[in-house]
Amino acid sequence: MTDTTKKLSGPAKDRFFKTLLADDEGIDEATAGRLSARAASIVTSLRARQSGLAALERRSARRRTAGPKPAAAEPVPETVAAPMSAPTPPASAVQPAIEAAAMPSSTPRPDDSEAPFDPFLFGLVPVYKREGADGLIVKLAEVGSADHLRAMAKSQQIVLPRELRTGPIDLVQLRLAILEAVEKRVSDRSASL
Amino acid sequence: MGYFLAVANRKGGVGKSTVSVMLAHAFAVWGGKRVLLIDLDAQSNSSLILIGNANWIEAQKKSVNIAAYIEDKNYTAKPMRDYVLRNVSDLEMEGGKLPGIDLLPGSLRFEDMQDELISFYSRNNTPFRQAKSRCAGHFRQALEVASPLAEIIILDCAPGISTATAAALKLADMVVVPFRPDSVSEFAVDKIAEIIEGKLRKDEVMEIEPAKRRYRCLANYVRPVGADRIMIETIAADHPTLATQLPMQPELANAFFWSEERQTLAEKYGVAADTMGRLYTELAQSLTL
Repeated sequence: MTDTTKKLSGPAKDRFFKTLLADDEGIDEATAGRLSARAASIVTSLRARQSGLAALERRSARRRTAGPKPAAAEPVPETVAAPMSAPTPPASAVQPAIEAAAMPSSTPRPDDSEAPFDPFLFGLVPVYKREGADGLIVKLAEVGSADHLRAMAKSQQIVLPRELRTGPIDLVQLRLAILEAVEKRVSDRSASL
Repeated sequence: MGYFLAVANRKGGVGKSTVSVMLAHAFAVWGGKRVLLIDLDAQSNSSLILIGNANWIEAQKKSVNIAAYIEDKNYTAKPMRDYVLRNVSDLEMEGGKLPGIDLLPGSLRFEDMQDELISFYSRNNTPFRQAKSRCAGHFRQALEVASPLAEIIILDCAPGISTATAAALKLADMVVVPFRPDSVSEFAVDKIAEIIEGKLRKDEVMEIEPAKRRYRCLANYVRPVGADRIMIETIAADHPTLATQLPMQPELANAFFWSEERQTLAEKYGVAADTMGRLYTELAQSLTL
């Protein structure tokens, strides 16, 4: 993972969010600015895939040449493209997951469609067992509604802390809480042997 | 030499006996194999399914059952044959031919008998664990002489891990572990996997490549709901699991009523024969028969 990812923090991270959101044609300039500021205020650092960053940079450069969406076309910062000496990922699966949790969804969100949400869209525990914490967070990022995330956890017997079960909540926080609850369940099962 | 196929799960009510009988039917009818089913469950469900209540009672009266065989303490193939009922089941094949299914019937006395055997081995202050281990060895010796009697020997194990079940699990070339996709099955499957592979911890089991493990899990009583699908995926993430799943299907449940009149497999299982065919094909491919 360290060979293909890059840690971003500080201004590089802030600029990354801006560029990433500006890259999405479905998001207008004002929304992109608001969301990137919000993401930047919550996330302290993140680890992004090199290949993804390169592609983002290429698209951004093309836009700069063509001239669309001027407000969103802020160049990808040098620091993003420059090689960085990423530290070894921490032993705990949670930290990289926190970083990944902040990644906006790249696939259509289930709540964007008319179809009712399937709380068994994917298995929280099986995905965690097969793909680890990062894999689960990436899958959870495909679910863009707190209600859907909660329904998913509840249906799959993943119990969230009481205060997270209702009311407005930050999606990143909710995804991480689900991850923790899944980890707890898996470790509880192991401990019982 | 016969291939020992155990059907086991320490959890009860997962369909061990019905799966044992299905496999006996499938290997005999579709595979053309001679099958011997040894009923190691005192509840004797697979015996009742294969020969019906009246015939089972008759077998008890004549002391033709697993408990009587073990008490005989003469473990060679010839005496074992005396305790085996030949060409049982209410199935018939095309042309009225009988499938080659034999049965060493279960006995209600089998549990007590195991306890008695353990006390026998516990005499002279022998430590309990040692006595239990000797008892399991005793059962193993008693069971392995079945090898020349059939091509497939199905060991229908009782729930829990009795000494007889422990012996069967050691002896088996392959163990089918049926499970219900419910919240406690994960634990049950983990635990029996450790016993089958002779490991003390699940991580040690996980170190063995799934294809090389001596067991295959089989989801049974599966409902077409997301919760069941996810539970099966959860178990399959850690354990080799057959792609075929047995659904919660009335035709399947009805197939286990013994009937005086013989029927073909298609008549007996109805639409459930398709699922059974898939199970047979998949399992036959994964066994080294």
